[in-house]
Amino acid sequence: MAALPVPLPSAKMAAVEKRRQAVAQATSFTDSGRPGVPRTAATAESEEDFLRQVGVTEMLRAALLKVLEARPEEPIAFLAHYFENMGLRSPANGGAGEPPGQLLLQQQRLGRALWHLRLAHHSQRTAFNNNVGVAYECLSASGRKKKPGLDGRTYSELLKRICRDGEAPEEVVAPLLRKIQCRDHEAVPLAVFRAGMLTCFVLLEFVARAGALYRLLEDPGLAMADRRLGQAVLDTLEGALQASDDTAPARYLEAGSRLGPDSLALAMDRALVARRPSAPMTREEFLEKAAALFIAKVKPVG
Amino acid sequence: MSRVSVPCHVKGTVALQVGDVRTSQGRPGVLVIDVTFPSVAPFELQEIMFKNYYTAFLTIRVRQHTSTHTPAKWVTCLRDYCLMPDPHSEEGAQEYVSLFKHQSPSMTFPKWLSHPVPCEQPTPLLEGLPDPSRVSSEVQQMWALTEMIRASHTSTRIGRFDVDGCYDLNLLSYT
Repeated sequence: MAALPVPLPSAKMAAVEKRRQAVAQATSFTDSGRPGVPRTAATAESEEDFLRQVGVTEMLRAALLKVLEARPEEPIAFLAHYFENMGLRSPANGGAGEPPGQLLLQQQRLGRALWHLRLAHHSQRTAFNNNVGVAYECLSASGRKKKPGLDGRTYSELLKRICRDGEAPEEVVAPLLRKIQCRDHEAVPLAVFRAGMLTCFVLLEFVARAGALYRLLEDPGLAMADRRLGQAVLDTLEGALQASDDTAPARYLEAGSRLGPDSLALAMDRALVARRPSAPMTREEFLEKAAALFIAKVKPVG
Repeated sequence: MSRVSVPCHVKGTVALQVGDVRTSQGRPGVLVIDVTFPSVAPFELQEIMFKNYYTAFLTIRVRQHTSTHTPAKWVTCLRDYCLMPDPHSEEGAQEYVSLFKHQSPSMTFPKWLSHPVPCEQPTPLLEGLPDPSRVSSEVQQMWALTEMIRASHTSTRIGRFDVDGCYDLNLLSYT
């Protein structure tokens, strides 16, 4: 079987295929599940109509667009999850006779929103923003008892869930949540939601990097870092983050020189020479202090 | 080979200061001493000796003429060499210091120092110091992520009108 790229269903392509079939009848090929036998134009038309009527054409197109946007590492698994999620959404899904309770609906909505938010990395800004929009709509959908719009309580729950799934310790993210959470009854506009989502995911990546940094500073025997080293590195980072009123390029150059390997080696070396050893710094403490530097730069909601 | 001291001319110290000299208070941390070798035949420098006076870190830079055609360029021989382990203590504050030329390929220059390579690395590293390049990479990424968040902001306000929670239900019910 030849490895053909999956064709995007469209009327234009169907027309081309019809022409191709008329010319080349010798080779039989399989694609999109059609049987590999030469067939007449009339049969092809009814098949295409069938696909369009049941909505498969549109659905596949949407699915493929999502794949293109997200560029996942494992496209097949991604597509499998996508269709699984879609199955949950469709009203024809074979469920219990009784409609699910509010709590379950809420959980499902959260789950779906989370799934959307994870499709693209925050650095793929356009894709990420699109997904944020979809997640927002998903959460704002009105239930039977629920008014339309996203309320503060759901928003807070979502934030907590993202952080929990991202394996960031609670004490580390708590200050951030305090800053960007909304009151339970407040209506959360899309812009606030989007900023909050971005901040949350960026913090998770920040904490991951801080964790990797801690592993570098760790004493292999102790499985903990020398307090002097940890503090020296954090202090250097804090120094580089101090906002000067310089224009952006000057600030970046200064930070770059402060955070270069030579400068950091010096800072670490000086710390070890200048101070006596004391109690080691645990991973939690290091992450908390590092996250504090990040959270300090986050604008609070208000 | 006997050791001969090379005549040199030591200029007065110049303080490096950032900002307006008139208004900034306090003494700066960096002083620069120029040392020149007037009209001396090419020589190979073996040792620099001096007495410290409350200097914590020393950097030596040398300007070398490689040939008459290329312009002279500055080379850093010694960077932040620690003379005082604790700048706030007395240790090393008034010591006599000798800096030796290492076994690096010797170069002679018409009128300037051959650069003395210190005995230790430019940044004397203790055993078991974490890899600075990897540490730097992680820290720089953390910096970039923070800067990105600092730069992004939402102008939309959530529409709160209260200050410090004065619309809190519990408070309102008492007024």
